[in-house]
Amino acid sequence: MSEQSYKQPVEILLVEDNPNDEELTLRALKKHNLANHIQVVRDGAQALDYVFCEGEYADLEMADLPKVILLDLKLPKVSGLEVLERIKSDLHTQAIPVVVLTSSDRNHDIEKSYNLGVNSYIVKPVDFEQFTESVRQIGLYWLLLNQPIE
Amino acid sequence: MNGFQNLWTRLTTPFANDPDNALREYMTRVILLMQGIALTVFTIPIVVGWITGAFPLEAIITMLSLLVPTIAGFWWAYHGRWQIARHIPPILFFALGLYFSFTSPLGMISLLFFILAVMLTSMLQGLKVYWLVLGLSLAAYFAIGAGRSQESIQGIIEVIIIVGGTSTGIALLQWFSINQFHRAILKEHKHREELDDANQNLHTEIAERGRAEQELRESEERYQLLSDATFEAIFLSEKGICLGQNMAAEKMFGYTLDESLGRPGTEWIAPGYRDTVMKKMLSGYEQPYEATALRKDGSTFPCEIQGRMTDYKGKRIRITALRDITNRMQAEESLRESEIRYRALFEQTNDAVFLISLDGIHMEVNPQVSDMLGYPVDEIIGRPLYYFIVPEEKQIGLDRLAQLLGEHTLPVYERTFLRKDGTTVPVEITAALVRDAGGKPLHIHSVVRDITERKRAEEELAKHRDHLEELVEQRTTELNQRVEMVESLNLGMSNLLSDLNAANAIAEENARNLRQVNADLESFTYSVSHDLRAPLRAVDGFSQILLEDYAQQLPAEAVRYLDKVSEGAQHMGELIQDLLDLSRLGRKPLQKMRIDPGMVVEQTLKELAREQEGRAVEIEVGDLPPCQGDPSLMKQVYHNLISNALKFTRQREDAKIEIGWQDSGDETVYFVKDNGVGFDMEYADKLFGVFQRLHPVEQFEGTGVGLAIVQRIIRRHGGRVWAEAEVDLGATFYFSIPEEDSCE
Repeated sequence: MSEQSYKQPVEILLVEDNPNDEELTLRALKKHNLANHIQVVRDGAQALDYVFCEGEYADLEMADLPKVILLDLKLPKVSGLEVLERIKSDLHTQAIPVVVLTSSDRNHDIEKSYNLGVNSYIVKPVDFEQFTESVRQIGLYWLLLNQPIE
Repeated sequence: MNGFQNLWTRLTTPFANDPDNALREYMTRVILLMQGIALTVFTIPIVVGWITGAFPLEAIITMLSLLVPTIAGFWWAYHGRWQIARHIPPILFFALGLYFSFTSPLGMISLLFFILAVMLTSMLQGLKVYWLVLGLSLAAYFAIGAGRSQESIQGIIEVIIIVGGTSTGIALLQWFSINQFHRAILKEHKHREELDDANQNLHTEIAERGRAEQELRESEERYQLLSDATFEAIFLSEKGICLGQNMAAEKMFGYTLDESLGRPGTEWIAPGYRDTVMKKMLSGYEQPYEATALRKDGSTFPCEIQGRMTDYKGKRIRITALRDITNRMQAEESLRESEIRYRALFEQTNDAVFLISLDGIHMEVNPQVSDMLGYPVDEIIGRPLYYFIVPEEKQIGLDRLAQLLGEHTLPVYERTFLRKDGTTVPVEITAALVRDAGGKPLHIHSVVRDITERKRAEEELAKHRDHLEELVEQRTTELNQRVEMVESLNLGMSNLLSDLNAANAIAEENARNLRQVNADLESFTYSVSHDLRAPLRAVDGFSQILLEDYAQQLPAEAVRYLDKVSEGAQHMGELIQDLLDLSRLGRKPLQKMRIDPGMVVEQTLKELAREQEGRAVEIEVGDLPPCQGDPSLMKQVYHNLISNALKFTRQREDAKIEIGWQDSGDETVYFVKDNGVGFDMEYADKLFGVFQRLHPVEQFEGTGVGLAIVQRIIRRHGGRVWAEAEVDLGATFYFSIPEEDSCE
C-alpha cells in the first residue's frame, strides 16, 4: 500500500498472510464497491503496529482507526487470537468491530474468539461464489448498516 | 446630767459576768464610792477646823485613816479586784465601832458602827461571814462594855434584840432585794443571750443566702457554658418564633442571636421541608426526624431535628436541637456502597465463601456453597462447621478452628466435604479471622475451592508416574539380568548391551510418540481445515475469476475445463469437510440422554425438504420407541441415511422410503428402507469404509463419507449397523442402539 493511501481514513484493515486469499477478498469487496480504503497487513505483529500506531505506522494517529478489522487466525509472528485479545483489552481499540475471517472451523478457535470479544466469526467457504457472498455481507453489514460509537 | 450619768455608769459597771457576783461588785463599788465622797466632804471642814485650831490633829489623822483605805479599795474594785475591796467597808466600820467603844462610854455611836459593819457584811459578804461579824460585834461590844461598867441583864437583852433584830431585818431585806435584782439581771442576761443568738442566726442566714446566690449564678453560667459548648444547634421558640439560640446555632447557620430573635423557625429550613417542620413544631412532635437545613449564606445541609415542649413561666416553650448529619450521611452512604461491593464480590466469586462464627457455626454462605454441597443455603446456615466434613477429618477441622482462633492465620489447607447425596468433594480452604477496628475477632471468613479436577489430575499423574517407575524398574531388572548374564558368560559381547539400550530408547520413544499422536492429530486436523482449504479456495476462486473476466476470449473447451477445475476444487472442499466431521466424532464426548427418534426424524425431514422438491416421494415414519443417545449425533445418522435414500430413489417414479423399527429380543433395531437403485451385496463390506463408493460420481454425487460417519456414531453408542440390498430393488440400512446398561 502506498504512503498516500493510509493518509486517508481507512475503512477496512485486512489482516491476511495468504496473498491468494487477500486478492480474492479484495476482489470480492471491489466487486460490491466496498473497497475504497483498505489497508492490508501480512502478519499479527504488523496488525498490532497499525492499530496501536507503533513501529512502521508510528506516524499514524489513533483517531484514524479502521471502521472494521477482518482478521485471519493463522498468522505469522503473532497469532490472530493474540491480536484479537490485544485489541479487545485496550480501551482505545476495543470498540473497533473485529470479524474473524478464517478457514478454521475448530470449536476451540470459535469459542476462544467469542470469549475474547470478537464481533463475528466467519468460516471462509472453499466455494468462491459463497466466499464472495460472505465478504459482501460482511462489508455491507459492518461498513454500511452497523452504527459505530461516534 | 448625761455626763454625770456616764461617769457614774463607767465607775460602777461591774466586770463580773455571773449575776450574783456582778451585784456584789456593783454594790462594793457604789458603797466605796459613796463612802469616799462622804469622807471627803467631812474631811474639808475638819481640815478648815484644824487650821483655825478648832480641831486637833488627831481628827485629821482619823479622817485620813478612813479616807485612804476607802480610796485604795475603790481603786482595787475599779480595776476588777472587787473581791479584796469588798472587805474594806465592813472592816472600817467594825474598826470605828471598836474605836468608839474604847474612847467613849458604851452608847449608841459604837453600836451604830457595829450595826453598819454587820449590815455591810450582809450586803457584800456571804452568809457565813455575816454570822461571824455579827457574833464578833456583839462579843466585842459586851466584852468592852462589861469591862468598863456594870450593865444589867435587861440592858444586855435589849442590846441583843436591837442589834440582832435590826441587822437581821436589814439582812433579810437585803436578801430579798438581791434576789429581785438577781432576777432582773438574769432576765437581762437571758435577753442579751437571745439577742446574741438572733444576731448570730441573722449572720448565718445572710452568709447562706449569699452562698446560695453565688451557687445560682454559677449554675446559670454552667448551663450557658453547656449550651454553648454543645455541637448541636439549640433553639428556644414559642409558637414557631425564635426566642433564643446557643453559640453552636450561630456557628452552624451564621445568624447572630440578635438576628435570630423573633424570626420564624422555618427560616432555618430548606423550602421543601418547611411545611413538615412547621407541622412538627406546632404539633409538639418529640421524636427525632431528618430534614434539610438552610444556612444564612443559602447553602444547605442534611440535619436531624428533635424538639421538646416544656412549660416556662406559663408559656409553652419548644426546645429544638438540630444536628448536622452530613458526615453521618456520607458515612452511611460509603458503608452502603462498601456493603454492595462486598455483596457483589461475595456472590459473584467462583469460589464458595463461608462466614463462620467464632464457635464454628455457619452464619452466611454464598450460592456457590449450596452448589458445592448440594444443600439449600438455609439448611447450611446454623449448622456447625464439622457437619459438612467427612467423619475422619472432623477432629482435624475442629483443631484447625482452635488454631485459627489462637494464631489468627492459617496456611491454605485441604479438606474433604460431604455432600448431601453422600458423595465427597475435595476442597482447598483459605481461612482468616476477621476483626473489628479494635482488633476483637468477629468471625471467620473462609474461601473454599473445589479441587476435584486438580485431585484427579494429580492422581492421574501419580498413576502415570507409578507406571513409569514400574516400567523403569522392570527394565532395570531386565537390564541387570542381561548384564549379569553377559558378565557370567564373559563373552565380551558389549554390543548386546548397546542393542538393549537401543531397544530401551525405542520403547521410550514409542511411549513419547504415542503421547505425540494426539497432539499431532489435533494439529493435523487444524492443518487440514486451514492449510488444505486455502489452496482449494485459490483454485476455485481464480478459475471463477478467469471465467468471469475472460470467458469471451476463451475457447469453449477451455471454459469447460475451468468448470471441471472449479468442480474438482469444490468437491475436495466437501471431502475435507466430511473428513473433519468424521475425525471430530472420535474426539467429542457423547452427551447421552433419553431421546425420541420420531422427533429427530421429523426435524431431519424438514431440513431435507428442499432435496425432495418437485418429486413425489412417499415417506412412511413408524412409531419409533425412545432410546438413549446423543441427540445431535442421532440426527446426523438419520440425516445421512435419509438423504442417501432420497438420493438413490431419484430415478424412481414411485419413490418410497420407510423409516421404522423392529424388536429383535434384547435390542431395538431401527431401519431406513428405500426402493431405490440398491447395490450388490457382494460389496456390502466396503459400504461403510471412508471414501468408499458403489456408484459413479457422475450418477450419484457424494464424498463416500456419509455412511462411514453413520457407522462411527452407532459404534460409539455401542450399537451395530448393517445393510441389506438388491440391485434395482432398493436398500435397507439397519442400526441398533442398546439399552442404557449395555452402553459404553
